[in-house]
Amino acid sequence: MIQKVNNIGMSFGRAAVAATFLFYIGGCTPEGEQEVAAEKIQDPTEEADATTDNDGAINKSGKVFYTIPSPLELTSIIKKAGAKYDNSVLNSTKNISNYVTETSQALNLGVYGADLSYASIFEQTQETIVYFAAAHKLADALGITAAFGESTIERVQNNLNNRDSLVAIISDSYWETDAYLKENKRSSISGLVVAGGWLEGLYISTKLAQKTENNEGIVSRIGEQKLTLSNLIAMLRSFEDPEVTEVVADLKELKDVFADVEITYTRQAPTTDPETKVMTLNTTSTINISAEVLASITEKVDDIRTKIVN
Amino acid sequence: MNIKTHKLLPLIVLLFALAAPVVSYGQCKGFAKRKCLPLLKPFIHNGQLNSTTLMEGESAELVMTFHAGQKYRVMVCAQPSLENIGFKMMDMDREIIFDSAEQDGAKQWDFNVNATQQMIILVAVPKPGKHASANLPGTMVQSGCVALLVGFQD
Repeated sequence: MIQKVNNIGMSFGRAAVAATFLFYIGGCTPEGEQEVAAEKIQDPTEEADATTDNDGAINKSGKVFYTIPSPLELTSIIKKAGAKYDNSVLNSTKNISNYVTETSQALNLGVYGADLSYASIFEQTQETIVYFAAAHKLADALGITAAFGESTIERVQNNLNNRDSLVAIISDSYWETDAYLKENKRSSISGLVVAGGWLEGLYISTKLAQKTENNEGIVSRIGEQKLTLSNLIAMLRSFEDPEVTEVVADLKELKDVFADVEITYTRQAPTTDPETKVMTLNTTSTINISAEVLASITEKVDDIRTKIVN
Repeated sequence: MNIKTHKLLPLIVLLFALAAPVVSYGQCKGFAKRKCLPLLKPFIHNGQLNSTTLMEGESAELVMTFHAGQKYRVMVCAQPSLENIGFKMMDMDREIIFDSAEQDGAKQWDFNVNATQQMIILVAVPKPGKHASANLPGTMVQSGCVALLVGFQD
């Protein structure tokens, strides 16, 4: 009897070891990265092909990820380009009750995140609190309690006069949001948050370009978003989620409008500061964007944004 | 070993195996947060977790737009099991701009950008053959969490 039990135990043991081995082979790549790592690297002006076979197309690397500059960065560069603060361009927090689906909550968490970034970069403390609270509500609705929780709100309130700390807290909150969603197999929702944030940043830029007299710098920053738009589409297409598909369709239409933006590079060798050892990439670029193209981009961004926030 | 332990051990092994990938990704996030994010400061990260599990001989690429007039820090952060990990920065023609192998295996790189441009960050773990102990009998292929972080300075 003992011998029989031992045999059964041994068989089960072998099966368990085999299952362990197979499971490790099949399961060592988390869901989040499988969804994001999908496509080959391409010319940024070309559209990603979602049907691309990963193994065949990427012969120099195993996994390709696309990452999008944060709304904090976008608002920082338009500030440097001469933009001013104007709260009339923000999405009203009164709209929050309209966002009842997971998709609209995710997109508008991104939208409010961009508004929050804009307010904090321009040191608008009152609106920073208001938009942090709005982001907190939507994050809660999406089940993300770690990112914008009560303790984080307290940290925001304690650092209202410290812009650098505020920016760091906001940045950490979005990192927590992204990490939580990816960790919980909701990468497409994470992608929608990123898309909403990028689009709102672009919307703010187009509106501020209209309101700024010498707006060449802001207009150039808008034209450069042609590059990021390609990356964003490539990232979203890899999710193969119907909710994401609709957003991708809108972004593809926007990409068509951006097609007339010309970016010309003049290559120059990089140099390194002998003291700081920091390299500067000296290649320069010229952004060609006509008034008509800018108007078309502004109109298209307005259309997509209206669909998202209403 | 008594009979009860003998019967339970495979079950414990199986349960551990089923839980491991979940734990692994959670650990990867925890590792990136605890060990990597603080090293990026004072640069502001972009709010996206770019981490993956790599084995020896594997590589991954990250494509991103870098904006004119900004200063950036790119950092690769890996668990100690992948101590030989390296990274390269390339333009979209795959011309190498920076290679950590030429900088004593540097794990981070700070740079200024004069023109908004796309760049590829290639992270690679050397194949086991390049390790001194790789050909020893019973040597296991190492794997671990790798996080790629990009931060800008406001």
